[in-house]
Amino acid sequence: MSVISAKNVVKSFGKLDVLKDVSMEIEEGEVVALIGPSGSGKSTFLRSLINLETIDNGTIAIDGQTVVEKGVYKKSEENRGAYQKLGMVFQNFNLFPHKSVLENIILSPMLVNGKSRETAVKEAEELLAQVGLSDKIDAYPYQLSGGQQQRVAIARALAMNPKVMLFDEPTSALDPELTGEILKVIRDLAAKDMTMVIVTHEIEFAKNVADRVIFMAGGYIVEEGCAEEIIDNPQNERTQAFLKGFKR
Amino acid sequence: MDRFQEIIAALFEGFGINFLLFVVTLVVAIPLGLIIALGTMSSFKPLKYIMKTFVWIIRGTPLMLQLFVVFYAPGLLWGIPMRDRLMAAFIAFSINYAAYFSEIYRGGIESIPKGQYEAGQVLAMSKTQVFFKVVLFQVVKRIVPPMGNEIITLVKDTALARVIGVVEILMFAERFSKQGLIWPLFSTALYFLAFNGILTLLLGYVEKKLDYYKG
Repeated sequence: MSVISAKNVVKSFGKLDVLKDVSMEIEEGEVVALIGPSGSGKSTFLRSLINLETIDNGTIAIDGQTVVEKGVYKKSEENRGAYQKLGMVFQNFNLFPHKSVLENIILSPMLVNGKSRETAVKEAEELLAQVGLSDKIDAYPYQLSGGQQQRVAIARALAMNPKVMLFDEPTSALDPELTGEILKVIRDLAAKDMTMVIVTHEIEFAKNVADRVIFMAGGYIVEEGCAEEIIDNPQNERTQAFLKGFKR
Repeated sequence: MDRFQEIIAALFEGFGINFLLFVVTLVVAIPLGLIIALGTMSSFKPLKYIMKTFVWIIRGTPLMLQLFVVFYAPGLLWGIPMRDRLMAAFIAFSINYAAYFSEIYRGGIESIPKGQYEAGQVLAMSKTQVFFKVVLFQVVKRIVPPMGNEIITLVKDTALARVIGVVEILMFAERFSKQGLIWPLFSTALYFLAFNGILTLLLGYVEKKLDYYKG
């Protein structure tokens, strides 16, 4: 059974049709990279999965639970549990600036999941070790580099024990020399069989870490397949044109 | 010399009324302003427009006029005269300052990036949790300087209460003027300056306390 199932998703912003008809199945343990030109709808699609955008039509099920069927959403209380199975990492990190690294991570586990402070802190320490930031536990976001902030954001999302991690261009706001540390964290997660959907412009990274690459353009999925296949030998001419831009 | 001490003490007593009006206005207007701010940002259109109209009226008319209305209207309209002048001042000042505060709150709340709400949402927080645990504190930091401005204005505005006969410091001082002594009236400035000096230090301290993070 797919952990995320999206069928015929349609979304427009006013007169702009961003998603025209997108269907996608994500299997457990799979790493999927969404690539494509700006405005192709890949971020909007990702955001729709976790309810940051409301879709106009289509069906989305998370871990077998249908949250929206043919454009009609279920009650928000019913959907809460399903959305909680997804974690999200943003392009701009969106850490809480007034809270320390530790407080950023433990806030929701304590507030939403009712964990004791002790348990939450212990888990946060483990997660920070995992992303290599144990020494920054008491720092505030403004004291960290972009790469460090993004790693905290990943730890914060993981603290909610998601089944699937969604990454919305996690390295796009970073200086090129800082992208490596994020990609390493994602690669480590992949090695632990975390299910991930990653919107990215890092084509080489997509090829290395993703099991499957999906190329989107103009609100449709144009081409998809195993990573090497799509990136080294694209069949569709839009994919070819897009990928040519990355070759040096 | 006895006369001098007596006058200083009388003025101090008068300033006690200004101080009381100041404190009551803040205690009522700070939370009331937040409620009004949330009203003006409500997605429920009728509430939003009622609140916006309310803020427009209060900010668009003189506080002095509002004092007259609160003090005289109940008697003129419903035959229930407002006997307590100070109470009338409490009401008029609280409403007036709540309207100003609400606009400062609204500006502060709207200045918080959308990403903060989204981060809260994807971490499974409810809207209320996001507001109180994520947004509100950041709003507080951003609004301290403009609130400080209003608070200092409030200290001076309390003197307006004399127009409905609240015996505050200026009214005290004027009594001495009528006896031919002009200096007490001018010396009231010292009370305002001293109090605002303390407030300025206090606000500076709060700003510094909140400076432990940036953004």
